[in-house]
Amino acid sequence: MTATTVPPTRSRSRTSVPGLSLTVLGLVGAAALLPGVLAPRDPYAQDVSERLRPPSAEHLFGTDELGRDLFSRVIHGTQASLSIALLALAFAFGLSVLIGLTAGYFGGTADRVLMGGVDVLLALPSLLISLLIVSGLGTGPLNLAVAVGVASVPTLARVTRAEVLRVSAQTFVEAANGYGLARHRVLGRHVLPHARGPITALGALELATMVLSVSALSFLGYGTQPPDPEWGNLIAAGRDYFATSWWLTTLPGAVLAGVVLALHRVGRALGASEAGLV
Amino acid sequence: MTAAIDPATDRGALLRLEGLKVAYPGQRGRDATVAVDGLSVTVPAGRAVAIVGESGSGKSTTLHALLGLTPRTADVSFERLEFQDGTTGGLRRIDDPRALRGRSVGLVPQDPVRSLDPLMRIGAQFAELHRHFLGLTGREESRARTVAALESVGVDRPGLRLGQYPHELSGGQRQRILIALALVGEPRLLLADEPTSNLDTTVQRRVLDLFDEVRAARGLSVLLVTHDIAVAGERADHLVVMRAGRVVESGPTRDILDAPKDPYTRQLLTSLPSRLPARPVFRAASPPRVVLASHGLTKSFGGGKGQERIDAVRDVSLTLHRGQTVAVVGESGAGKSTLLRLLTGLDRPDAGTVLLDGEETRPGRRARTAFARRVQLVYQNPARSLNPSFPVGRAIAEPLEAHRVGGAKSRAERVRDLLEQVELPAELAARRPSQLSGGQLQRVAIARALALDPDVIVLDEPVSALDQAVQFALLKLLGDLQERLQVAYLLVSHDLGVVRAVADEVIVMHRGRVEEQAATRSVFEAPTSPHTRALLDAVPALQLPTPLVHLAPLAPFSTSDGKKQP
Repeated sequence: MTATTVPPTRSRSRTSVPGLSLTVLGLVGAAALLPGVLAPRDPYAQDVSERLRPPSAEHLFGTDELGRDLFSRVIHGTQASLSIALLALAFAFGLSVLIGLTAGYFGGTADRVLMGGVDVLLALPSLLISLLIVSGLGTGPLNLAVAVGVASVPTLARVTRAEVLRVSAQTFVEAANGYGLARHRVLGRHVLPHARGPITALGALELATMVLSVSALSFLGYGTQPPDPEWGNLIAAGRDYFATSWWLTTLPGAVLAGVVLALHRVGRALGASEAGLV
Repeated sequence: MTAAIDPATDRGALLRLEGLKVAYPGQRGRDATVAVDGLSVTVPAGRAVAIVGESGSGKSTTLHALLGLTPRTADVSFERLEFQDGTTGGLRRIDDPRALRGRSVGLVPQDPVRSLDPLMRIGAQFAELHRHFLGLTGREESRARTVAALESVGVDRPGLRLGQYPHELSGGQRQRILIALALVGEPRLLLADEPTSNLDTTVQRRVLDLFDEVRAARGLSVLLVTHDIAVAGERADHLVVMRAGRVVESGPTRDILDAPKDPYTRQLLTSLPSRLPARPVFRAASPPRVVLASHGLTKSFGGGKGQERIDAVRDVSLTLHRGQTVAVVGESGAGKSTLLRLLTGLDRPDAGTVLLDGEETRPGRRARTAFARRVQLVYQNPARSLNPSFPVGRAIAEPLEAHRVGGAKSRAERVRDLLEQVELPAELAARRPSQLSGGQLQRVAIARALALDPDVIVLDEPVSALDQAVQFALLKLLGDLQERLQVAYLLVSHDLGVVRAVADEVIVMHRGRVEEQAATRSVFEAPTSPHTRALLDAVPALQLPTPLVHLAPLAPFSTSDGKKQP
């Protein structure tokens, strides 16, 4: 007797691991940690005879109006951009997890007050908040990190709260409360570990925004001050020569865009793997 | 094996399936799993056939394969699939099972809550099928047909239901609507996938009656899939007993129940709760040692704008002696869960008191913690009540840690001891919940509840998520533990078979009130309240030859409670 076989339909393709993005981030990380090794020249060394040279084999990104090697300046600027963004992320993470946990787990008045505050933050444009903080506190790296981090607190805190609510409703959390485990233990052991995934994924996405914000602030003159290089102020400085020397704004801008996109891509992949799609 | 057709009423076979195989290819280093291996089944016209088996036996997969509804990754093949031809009455060969959907075979899905589109009104759900099957586009005609269809399945006030959304209807009504939907294409075979497993016993009875009525009125055949051999035995003419993807036995129901040939079928029949060893009549110690009691417990919910407050629990008093089992039964919404939350201190009552050792429990976190030490809770679903990322040994030790009992070493010892008490090997302590079977997990949950040597364990439907044989073993374990440790159980269950087998006293609840409260025997044999009688009548009765002398003594359930395949 012949066997009838129902043909299987082809299965959905999996989300790929973002290899290119990881390479970009690896290079950027190396540049931030070891700028002196990677940069071909001294970022501060001026050579007036080599002013405003277009990109070439000798000067990959060309030179600026004082004859400084732009490629070296971009590499040395990485540290400032990235470290402030990471600091901002740490600050935003800490504050929003605290807010989200308290609001989600204890509920009631705490929830209403905290989420009310978060909603107010959400209603204001984030760049405006950052500018207000920097003009109030001054422009040190720590202040910059706070200014940039605050902007991400509303979304992170909301997601944390939602996740805590979801996990707290699970039976094993009720069971742990039921046999009398202290509240901070219930939170630390049973709630947070299961709420962590989506918060981490969102954090990676927020980091991309933060890198952009840090550069935006220094573009506006509130961040790293010249002659110290930073992506934002390099882009700003190149504006005056844009008509004749396109590379001064375009190439640092391209680096910034590449890094933000790569962070975004990795964040998306993290989120997808948390959702069980990879 | 093929079910023999009773020649007296033989109207021929309606469906014949031979050699069905469903396999899931291996992925990421896992072996391929064979869900169904060489299944053959014949459904005679106008008859009911039941496929009985435990979870993972491949019974639902069989139904899905019959309609081509298996997931894309599954490899489905069969040697022969035939369906009765409408005109000649002979069998016609079917190549693609999808051709059978709707017009020849209607499916009544398992879960009435999730099987209706929550965003569509009932009328629209029908209109869609009317368009698809009958080409009807007129609203009025679709309406008229829907009303008639709803009436025929016993939905009250059908005109009103048309404009309602699924969430506004009860589980029983939704199940009736699903049956009516399955009938729109005028199929000649109804597939019912555990149609009643989420319903109360009384509703279950009415829905099963409806299947019988529909079958008789329309000359349909029914292929019923169930884990409950009692339901299958009561409703089907033929039984197909499945285990691990294979048919172990099939034939006329009476023959199988009277003289099961396969050891597995015998095991199913001997693991019915009624076969648990009889409990000695409970005698309270003198002086009586009451561990947990309540007086006039009342809790109500709602009472928002223009809404009446609903009494979830009204004036409930009970006493629980040391070593006693008291069962609370009732339909869903009767207030069982609320009562349980009040008694375990998870909620505070509006009025009334809970007494532990004769002392009133006080509010506050510290009193709550002290209370938790003496009264522990075991949940319905062990997979959800255990943290999936904790090794089970750590889960068992956590109550000890919470109450600062002993050091790390003595806790580890206690965990070993507890695992032994619940008859699990000590090396399981290092495993995670996902690596254990449902029965093993519930044993772990019981071990965790025992860790602090409580006086009372509240059991919230402790076995309803488990297969029958595993249920049986677990109930036996609970009985042994009670005898040894003199712990009192407060059992909440909808399964009256379980209640009858293990409880000393029964409290029947209805709409938040106590309908009846008496010793188990007298409740079951001489119920005083009409509501209790209705509940009891609804229990599917399996007429087994008694005593089953020819049945082998209960074998250990090695495979059914074994380790789950990763």
